[in-house]
Amino acid sequence: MSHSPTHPAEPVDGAARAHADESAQRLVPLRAATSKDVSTSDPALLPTPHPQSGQQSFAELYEDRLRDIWRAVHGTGPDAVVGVDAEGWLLVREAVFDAGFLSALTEAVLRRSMESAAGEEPFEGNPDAVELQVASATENMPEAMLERFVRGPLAATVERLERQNATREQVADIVLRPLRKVAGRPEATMLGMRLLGYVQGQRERTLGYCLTVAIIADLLGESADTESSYASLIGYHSALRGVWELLTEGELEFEGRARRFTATNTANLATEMWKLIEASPSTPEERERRHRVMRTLKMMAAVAKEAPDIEDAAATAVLEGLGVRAAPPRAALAVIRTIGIGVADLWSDDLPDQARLLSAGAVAAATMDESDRMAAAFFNAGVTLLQSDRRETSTVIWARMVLNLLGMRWGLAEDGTPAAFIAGDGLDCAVNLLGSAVEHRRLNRPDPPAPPELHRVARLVLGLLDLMPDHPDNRLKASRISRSGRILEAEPLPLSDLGPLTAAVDEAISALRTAVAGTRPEEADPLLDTARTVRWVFEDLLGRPSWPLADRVAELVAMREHAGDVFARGYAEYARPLDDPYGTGPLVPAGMLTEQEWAERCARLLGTVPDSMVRALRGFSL
Amino acid sequence: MTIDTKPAGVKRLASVWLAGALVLVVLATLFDLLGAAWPAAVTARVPPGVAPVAALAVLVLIAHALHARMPALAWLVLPLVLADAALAAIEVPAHLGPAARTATTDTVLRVLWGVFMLYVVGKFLLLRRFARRAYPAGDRAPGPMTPLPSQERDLKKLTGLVAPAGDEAGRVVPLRGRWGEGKSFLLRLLKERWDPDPAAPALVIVDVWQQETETDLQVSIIEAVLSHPSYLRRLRWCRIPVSFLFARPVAALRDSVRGVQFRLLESGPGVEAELQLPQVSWQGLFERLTQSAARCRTVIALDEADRATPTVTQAALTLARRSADSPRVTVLLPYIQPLIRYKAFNPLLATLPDLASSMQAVLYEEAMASGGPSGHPPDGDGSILGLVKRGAAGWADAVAELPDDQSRLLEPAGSGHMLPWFLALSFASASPERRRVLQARFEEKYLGPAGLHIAPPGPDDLAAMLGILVRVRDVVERELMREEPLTATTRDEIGTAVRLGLERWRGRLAAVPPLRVLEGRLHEVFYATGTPARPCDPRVIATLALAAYDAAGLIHGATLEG
Repeated sequence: MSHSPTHPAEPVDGAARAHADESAQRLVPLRAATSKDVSTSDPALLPTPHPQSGQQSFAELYEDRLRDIWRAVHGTGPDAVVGVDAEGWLLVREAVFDAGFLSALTEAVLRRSMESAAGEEPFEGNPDAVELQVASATENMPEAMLERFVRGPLAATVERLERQNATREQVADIVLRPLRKVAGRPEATMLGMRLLGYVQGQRERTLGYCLTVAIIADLLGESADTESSYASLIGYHSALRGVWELLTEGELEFEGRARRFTATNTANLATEMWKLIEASPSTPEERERRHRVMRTLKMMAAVAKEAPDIEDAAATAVLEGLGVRAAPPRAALAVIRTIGIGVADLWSDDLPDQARLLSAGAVAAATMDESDRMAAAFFNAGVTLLQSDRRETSTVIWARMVLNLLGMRWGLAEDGTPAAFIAGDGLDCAVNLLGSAVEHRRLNRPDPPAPPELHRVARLVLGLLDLMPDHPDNRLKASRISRSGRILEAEPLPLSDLGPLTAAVDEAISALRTAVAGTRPEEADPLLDTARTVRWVFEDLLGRPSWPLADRVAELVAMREHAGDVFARGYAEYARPLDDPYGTGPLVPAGMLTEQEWAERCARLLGTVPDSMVRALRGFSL
Repeated sequence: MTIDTKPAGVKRLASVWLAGALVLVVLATLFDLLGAAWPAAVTARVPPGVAPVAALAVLVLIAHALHARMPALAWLVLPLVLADAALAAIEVPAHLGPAARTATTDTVLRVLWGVFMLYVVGKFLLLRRFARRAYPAGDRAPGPMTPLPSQERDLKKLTGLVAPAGDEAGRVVPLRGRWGEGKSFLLRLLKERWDPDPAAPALVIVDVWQQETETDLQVSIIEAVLSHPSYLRRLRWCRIPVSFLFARPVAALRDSVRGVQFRLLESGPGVEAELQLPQVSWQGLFERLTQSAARCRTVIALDEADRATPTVTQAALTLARRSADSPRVTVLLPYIQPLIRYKAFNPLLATLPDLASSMQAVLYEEAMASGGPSGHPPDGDGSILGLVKRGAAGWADAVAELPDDQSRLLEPAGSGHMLPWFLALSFASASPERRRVLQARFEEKYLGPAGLHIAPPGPDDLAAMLGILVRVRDVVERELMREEPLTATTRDEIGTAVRLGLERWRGRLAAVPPLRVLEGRLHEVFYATGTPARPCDPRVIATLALAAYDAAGLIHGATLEG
């Protein structure tokens, strides 16, 4: 199995995208929704979405195949060449993509999949070629066709591949393709659990195998129920333990893919663990014990995380903007991104410090092409401040308004259309922005008063209501926005595109800073401006010139030089004893399961190894 | 189309002879009109009627050459023959002399002459019809074809199969390949090689698909045979029976009758009509023609038979089988297996009695045998009654499963012979594996086992295509090599890189693509290339070719017959 060198990033906090297809729904006005909830802000942290699958997309798979074709002709891969050959590779790549081979392949395999009779296999070739064709088909297949596809063509293909002694890893990679499309559905989760057992039947353990197991764990983690979280966690642990064994036995170097794998999946494991922690009440002592394990996992992720692909000078500028001093700067941004996006109370009990970490994490994420995570992070930073004892003071309210405006700014930049913005995390920031504006209005003689630019933002947000589709998730938000609008005496402004709202948000940020500080430094770069605004919120507005967590960041940055050792030592506690087929796992040290419970769960999931996936596929139904 | 190594000489000769015939006809006319005015010495030496007869003889001798070499003047032949016939009718009785002439003998002689001339005109008409197909006006012949290495090898194998040395037995040679694999190209290549060689077989290509609107496929095939130059030249055209002039009208008439019969069959019970498709009345003519052929063997290629309607496909197969009984005849049958299995070797679609009964015989044998050739176990007590009972029970079950308005679809057509219908149903209810075994047996009965499976394009072919495909070569030279002429060394480097790359990649191919699909993908990817800053490394060009090969296999490999 060949995987992309760019492994998807670890999970972060942010709104669940379960309703990402909302934009396709009919847009109907949603007004005057009723709710028993009387608050105007959403006080809950946005849920942690599960990470994107580690499986390559069809286009990435095809590009890998093209690299192998190049290798077949040249003897070396295109990455190994420079100069004229490098130009040659670009020429080949662009010609092949421009020639429309991908769309032709998609069309052909979809047609074959639809035309093939029951029991007939529409795909030919070895597992690599089959995976490419299945990826092409499933990425473009309507969900209504998926059941028939899995039961018929896919089952027949898997039957043939099993007969031809394809490895279980290869079969799993193929089966995962359609399942990813319905991730989160109980049927997909059931089949995923079976697949997790099925791959255990493969003796050979490689990094590719471990990645396949991790992708199955991704699939299981898409389900909301606790059992699926346990299954997903066991899957990640199994994958990480496999890599840990390869590293400690010297069969793998801790670099490149192995390092990315470790960074991603320790963070994924932490995410699943967090879901289980949240689902079960605990005493402060128990919680601290659990947090210790979580911190270990996040620390392993932070030191292994790949640095952003930007210039050192740019990284230094961002760090200075945030008020953090750490070297090397790119490594520091990777650490801030890893520990900042996620569960902030692992690192500090101080709420403003946590909020600053979340805000800094948002900025760091943008340097790693993850600006889609920023809105959720700023939202959570605002909610964190909402939990502080000083939440009703004007400075905290003012800070929340700025943070939510920053979240809106990046949500608007990311989402593009009103429908996408409504479906994304930016709308949550808008809800809480209006909520904090209401609280500000309720203050006795607020000083300074809210600038008129903020009022305009409120009016434009009210205009969004006409565009919100009638969806349960939207009703509460619409209700809060409407109530805030009434209190703020704001009349909705009609909105057809996001241009006026984007401009109004920028003006409001500027106005809020100017209202407090008197002046506002000009900064053309929006990311640097955001970084400096964050620093201003916490250092100037909230009066916290020092940030103790900066030392923690520096400490983790220093550990990155020995990232392999950090993982080898850190995960040893969960991977051992070696004669135990499943190891101790993270839940036992965290006190969430007894050793026996852990062993039983693992045995139930990993100990049942089916001979074939064909029967399960033929019985698949949605 | 080349039929002679000295076309210019033949043209001159034909012109001279045509002029001579024209002079003779003019002389005969003048002689007739101005008889008394001619000097006595002339009239005494040249008896009446000699000139038109001589002119006719000349026309017979030169007619083929005119059609072949000077089609623009060939139209003159028929008016001259008619004029000649009229003159002879006037002059021949006069030749008898006044003593022997009576009104009765004049009339009888003229009638006899008239009948003879009608016969002769009929021959000329047939010549005209076939010569126009054999030697189309204008130069429509494409340039010489350049085969790929694998096609050259296939051609060699095919030549050995079609015309084995010293073997005069008739045969059917199946030519199996996927869609776009180059079957028709191979036929045209064979024709290009054989036509100029008088010692080579006469290859007649019949496009069955195009002929499916004709009323009688056999007539179309014979016409195609007669349109081959070797069946026309050196007065061989005179052997074509004049009755063949009426083959099409007769076939049309028979077709109308069959239509009436079919409607009667459809109209209700109690009406018996035997359908006989196709008519075999021209089989004797076909055999006589092929036996008398100047060439060692006649090869009839029934191209595109699998594209036609099932009835026509079945007719083509039946005719192919019958033709194979004629010595010195080879029927070459290019086909795509899934298509021919669906349209011809499918008991549920059998239209022609002989093909249908052959398949029924196999099904019957399978059903009755205790462990038939396919290894399928006996499915009953081995009695005919048991077979009928099982068939009836299966039929009843099938009918019961269908809604009322659809159950009549399962009623046997025609006069209600139930056994064939039960046999067909047994085929329908067989597993896919058993159906494949049965269809292989049907095929064996009609198609000889020794056929050619066209080789898919290999590494040598891919390398050769970069030089043969003009537009691809153009992109390589103009764009990728930046107008630098392709030296032999560079060509070799590209070829070596392509061959090496494809050999290494072979294990990862999804499928080997058909030739036409590969050609399309090569064009697409080379058209999509940009222009590099400097001439490309030959291996980059090879990578593009290999990517096109791989994509063609991925995209089209599994959709076609493997």
